[in-house]
Amino acid sequence: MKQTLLAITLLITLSTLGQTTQVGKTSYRIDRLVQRYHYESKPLDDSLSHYVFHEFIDVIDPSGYYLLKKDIEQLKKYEFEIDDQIKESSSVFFDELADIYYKRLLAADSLVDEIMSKPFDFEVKENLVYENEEVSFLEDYPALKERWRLWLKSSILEELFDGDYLENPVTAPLDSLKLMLPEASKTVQDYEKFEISSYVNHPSGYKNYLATYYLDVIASYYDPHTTYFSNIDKEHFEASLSKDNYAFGFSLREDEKGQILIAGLTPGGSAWMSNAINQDDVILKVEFDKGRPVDVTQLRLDDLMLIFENTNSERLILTLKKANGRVEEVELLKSEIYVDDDVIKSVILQGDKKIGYITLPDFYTDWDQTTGLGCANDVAKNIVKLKQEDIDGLILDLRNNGGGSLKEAIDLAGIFIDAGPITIEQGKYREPKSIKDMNRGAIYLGPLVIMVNGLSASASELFSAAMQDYNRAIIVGSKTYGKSTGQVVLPLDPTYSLTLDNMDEVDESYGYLKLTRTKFYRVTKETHQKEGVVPDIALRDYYELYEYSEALNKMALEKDQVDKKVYYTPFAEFPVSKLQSNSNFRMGMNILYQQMCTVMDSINNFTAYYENSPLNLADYQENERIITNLYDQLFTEELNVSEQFEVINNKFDAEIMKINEYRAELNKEYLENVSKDLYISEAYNVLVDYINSK
Amino acid sequence: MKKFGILTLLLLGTGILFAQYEGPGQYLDAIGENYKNIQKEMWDYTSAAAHGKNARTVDKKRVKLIQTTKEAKSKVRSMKGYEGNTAYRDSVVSFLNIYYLVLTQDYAKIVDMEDIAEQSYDLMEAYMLAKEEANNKLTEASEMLIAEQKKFAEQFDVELVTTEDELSEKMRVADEVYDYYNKLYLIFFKSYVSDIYLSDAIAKGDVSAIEQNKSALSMASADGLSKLKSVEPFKGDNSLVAACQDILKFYQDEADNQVDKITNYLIKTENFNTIKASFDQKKEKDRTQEDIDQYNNAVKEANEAAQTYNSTNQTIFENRKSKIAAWNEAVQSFTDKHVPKK
Repeated sequence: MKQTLLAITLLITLSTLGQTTQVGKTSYRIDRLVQRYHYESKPLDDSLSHYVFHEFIDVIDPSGYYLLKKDIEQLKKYEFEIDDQIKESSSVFFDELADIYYKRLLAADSLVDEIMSKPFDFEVKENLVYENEEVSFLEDYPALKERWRLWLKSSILEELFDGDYLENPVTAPLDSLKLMLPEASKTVQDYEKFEISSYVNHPSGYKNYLATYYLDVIASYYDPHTTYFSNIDKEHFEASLSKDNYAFGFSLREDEKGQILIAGLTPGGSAWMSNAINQDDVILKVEFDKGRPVDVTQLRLDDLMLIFENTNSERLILTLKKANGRVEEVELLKSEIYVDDDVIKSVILQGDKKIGYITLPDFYTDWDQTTGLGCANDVAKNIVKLKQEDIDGLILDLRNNGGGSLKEAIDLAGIFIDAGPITIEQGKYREPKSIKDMNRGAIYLGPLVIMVNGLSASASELFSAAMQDYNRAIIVGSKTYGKSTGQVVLPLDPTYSLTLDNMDEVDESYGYLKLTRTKFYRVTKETHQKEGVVPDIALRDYYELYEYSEALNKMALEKDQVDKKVYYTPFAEFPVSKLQSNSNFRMGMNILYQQMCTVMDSINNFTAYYENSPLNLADYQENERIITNLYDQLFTEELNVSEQFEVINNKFDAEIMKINEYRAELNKEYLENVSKDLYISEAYNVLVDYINSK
Repeated sequence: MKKFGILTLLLLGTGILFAQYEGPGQYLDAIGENYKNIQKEMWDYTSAAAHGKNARTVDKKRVKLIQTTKEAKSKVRSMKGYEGNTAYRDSVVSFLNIYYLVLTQDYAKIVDMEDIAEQSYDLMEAYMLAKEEANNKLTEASEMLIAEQKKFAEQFDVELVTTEDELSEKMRVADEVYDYYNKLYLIFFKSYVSDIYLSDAIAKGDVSAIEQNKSALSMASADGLSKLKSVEPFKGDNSLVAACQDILKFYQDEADNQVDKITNYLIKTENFNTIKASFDQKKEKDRTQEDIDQYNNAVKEANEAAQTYNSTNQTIFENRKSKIAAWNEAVQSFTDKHVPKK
């Protein structure tokens, strides 16, 4: 009797866990690798299941436009079962959801056509309310159709104002706006259908493609920087444009969402020189000399590369979405790229004092290890050049520097201190270990300011934190991003082991896991994880309008302390409070800065704009007028050239500018930008203030 | 560069004379017989290292010493007590045990450390400290042994006439010489190691490392020279101080006056390459007289910098070679003169 019961129980268990699948096997491998190598692994239990259940649904349908309430109810039985499925290498939840979602995608596609078959009424007063709370799934198709109707209307209005239909849509008469509505509607319809089709007809297969999201959600349970790469991603990974065909100086890649991103910049190329493009910026539009802009969001990477290869245009305007969500336009000129050893720019701010200024956009290194010399060496050379001009102080600008090589950050720190620990690395099983500047001696020991902002992340933060702890530099700007962890990429192939060196034998069908393996701490035992490096002299900037920081990731690792004492000898403390109050006084008198702060407060307070969107053309235009006005004030402010200093090249660069017209042209623009940057001006003031106080 | 790693171990006052009482005296003698060879072999070893014998010969002597210690230990352990007193015998065993452990474990570690000591000043300092610590352990063990000897002598009414025999005296002198030498060596080594890093950075063309090690060398040599001012001559012999001063002055000049020419060359060359690339890109008909003049001037400057670079490198190389040879020679003749011969 008992035996029979046992057999039945087993059968039932098996049926809810399902059979092993490739997705299931990969999910199991993710857990195995995480348990073994992740810095802070968590058990495979109901908590994970609950997270994956809700997060995956949220990822594929964040606002409830596809799935219905009954779908969620049908799946609810798996809310606490996913962990068990992973243990058995099965994927019942995923498979069932994928089937449902496929049907719903097709249904939504029909809904869009159906709704768009008749023109909308933009006279009627109605609103689309943005839901900040948990998404509510709807009962049936009629309700869903109504939700889509409102969404499509709002999208058409957004397209009408953001697209290039009219010169100045916020002041245009309503009648001319109305004329453009059919065209905007067509674009929106195409876009929505493209979105749906990019899932349903994905070249690697619908289910394979959806699985990359599912597996990535599992990985994200451990922390925001643990991510899954499928072999689909890898094929598109670093699909660089060849330098011969294409001379704007950047390479592209396509991510798992089908977005096209900047994969890298060619040092010394046009994009690099623009100082406005960073790795991982999303390309929204490209516009060449002649013709209308091309909407890149509806292109695959191969198509875009074809466009680039077939153009002989000398000028390109890129519309980019930055990491923080801000949309920017950058104009690039085609340039002949030649091998240029010195890609870092250094200039002199010549005023009452002679201050060197160096900007470092990225902690690049020689990844091919041919020379082992990276940005630290380039910065060193520039410092030597500046020292020959007898500078009184130095500003190192790390704004927008998203990090890069840890070794370069350590080497850079070594330039400014004799020797000593820079950071403490803590791995999972290992004792905490201090990472030191091994080169005794320093290159520059004079007064130093480091500029940072919310986009300064990772290696930038580690370096700034060390300089702050040593009282070596005054940190000026806004709070940094807050990432203090290190990652490694491991193949998910179950036969792979760390001792196996030959990566060619790895079975790529499982994909790869980028996993957080170490956490970094400051020499004070503290960490900037989640919190960022807090500047000594705080300045507000418009990045605060874009919510972008580690702390906003709900799965971010916590800030804690490391149990290791390291010995370091800090320099004398800076008179920080005096410097800050002097800075406050100056910025209080700075009309431009004050205006900017007022505008930022107004934008923050314009809450109606973020809560709902009027779907009546006139009301929408009024809202747009207000917000555009505010943003215009923020960005098209006529900036003045600094009166305190003149920006000049060091004598080595000056020689080059004489003979190279292209560089000279870029240089002129660069000098002007430096001169007009109110943050550089204030960094100069802080530094001069400090020098005078000594 | 000659490695100088040696352990100067002291066997304090273990040469004992005893006269009247044949019984307990003979017992002391019998025990002493077992380990007097150790003292002799230790001296062989110290002396071989001091007088520049090759590393293999020196290490052979160490291995022999370990073997002798082991044998002595087992012989003494198997001896009977004297009229019920086993305390003295046990203290000898325990002394030999410590001696054995220091030679096999501490010293093995020290040999390992010696291999890497030259990589940095910190490692060298740690190596020196480790040697000092091993010496201290042996000194403590010796003192403990002497105390036990005294107790034994009191119990059995033996008159101990403690003298320093010839070997012990040699050992004491050698130790004094090495203390003095080690102090100077560390001063020398701090600059020496910075210079090695500096040469390495120059070979790689790594400006960041060149400039950092230049500043480190400048500091180390200046610091060393000021420390040397307070070092007294050793028994009237100032040769080592003078040799150390001489080489530090070379390092100081290298750091403060020569290296800049090298950095300057590296930066100038890079700038020249950029100018050349820009010039080459211009079609001949587009080049202005100004462009041509600028280019020619850049060529001239780059050539000058290259010449200076070559001659500076050459001078540094030759001077370094002869200064280091002179220092080594000074060290050799200093130890030859002051460390007693066999």
